[in-house]
Amino acid sequence: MTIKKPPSTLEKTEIEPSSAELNDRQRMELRRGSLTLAVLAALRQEEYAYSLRKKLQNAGIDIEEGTLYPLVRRLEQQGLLESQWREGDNRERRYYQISALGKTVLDTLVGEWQTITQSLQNLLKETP
Amino acid sequence: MNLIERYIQAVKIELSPRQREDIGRELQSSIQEGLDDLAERNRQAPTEHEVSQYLERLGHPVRVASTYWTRRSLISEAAYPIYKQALILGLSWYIGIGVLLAVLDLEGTQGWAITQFPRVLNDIVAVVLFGLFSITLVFHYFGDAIAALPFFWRWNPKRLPNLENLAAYLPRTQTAWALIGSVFSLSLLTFGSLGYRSSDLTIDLSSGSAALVALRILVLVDFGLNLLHLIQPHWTRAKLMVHVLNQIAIVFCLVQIFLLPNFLVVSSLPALDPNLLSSINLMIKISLAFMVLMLIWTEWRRVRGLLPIKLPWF
Repeated sequence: MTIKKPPSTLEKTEIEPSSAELNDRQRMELRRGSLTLAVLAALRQEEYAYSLRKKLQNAGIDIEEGTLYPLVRRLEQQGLLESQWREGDNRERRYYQISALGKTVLDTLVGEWQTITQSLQNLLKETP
Repeated sequence: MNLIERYIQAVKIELSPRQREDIGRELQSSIQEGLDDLAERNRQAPTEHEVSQYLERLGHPVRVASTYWTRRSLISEAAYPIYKQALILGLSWYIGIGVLLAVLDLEGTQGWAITQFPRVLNDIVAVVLFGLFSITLVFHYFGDAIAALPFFWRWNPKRLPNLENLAAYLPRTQTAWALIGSVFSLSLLTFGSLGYRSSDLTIDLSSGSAALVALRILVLVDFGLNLLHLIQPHWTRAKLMVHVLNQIAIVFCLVQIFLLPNFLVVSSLPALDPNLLSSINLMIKISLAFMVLMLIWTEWRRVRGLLPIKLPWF
């Protein structure tokens, strides 16, 4: 006998996202995963929050302040970044730079990134 | 106080004291950098309107502050599966306790039990809400530590339910309604609290009927089975058959009570209008007949689903 499960009312009422929304959501998910890598790579040279954002923008990674600044702080809390307040251009700024642990993690992430990219390229070549 | 300071202040209020000053200082520095950039592009200092637009683009202070919160949800993602299981088991337990307390409370209550039903439900809801609150609070503070415990690590595939033996999936909403029905029946049949009582008059259900005693036990079993349904929505044929048999026994007892000549027993007031008593008796008998028909209908549908052969529609 088959198990009868009635359709949930939640399933019925749930609003399905449009294809454009779905597209945007998936794109954001993909980007989110690679942001840590981008930030760690960009901070191999010392930067402050605003200059980091500009640097990423110039590299083609447009990221909102509300996403970037908390991410940088989280990475610092995890020990992947180091920071210090310093005077620069007559203004106090907090400068961030990748830590020794961060460099190790970055190497791992870059390796992983290259493997995934290679695998995806192979897969996309195969797929009709 | 200018717009930037007011904005920073509004963000800082939403942050924990430990990180408040540091984040506020950094945010101020970054906003200033952004406005300097704007001034350089426009070759003039930004107007108040431009500053306001810049801050609007940054987002509402609460939203900005929330991006710095270490915990952005009531229950962490890692703890959520265990929280959900704890909620199902815990709330079933709290419903049981709530019903027990309500029934014990009813024992000493005066008046028609049916008038007490909203209060009984209210008491049960209060206990369940307390359960929800306490379980959520524990998981909010200790969720990650609980998630680190090996709850889902050790398990045996052989102990997973065998789908071939399962007869049906009972939706929890349906079970919850059945549970409320059991509570209602229990409150109507438990102890001596159901009759009408005042200083002049006592009307009780006929205590001479053995069917009534049996009915109380069967309804209690029904309550327990419904509670089990709530915890385990997938039931085997054997378990469902037990439930069906219990319901059939309830129907049998209800029919026995229906056939009693004097359903209500009056004491302490000999001068009660006999017409009033007979009309109350009739009203209760009509309700009983309705209950019996409903039970037969429900159980027929359940049995029909369990039988391997197709039976005609009832």
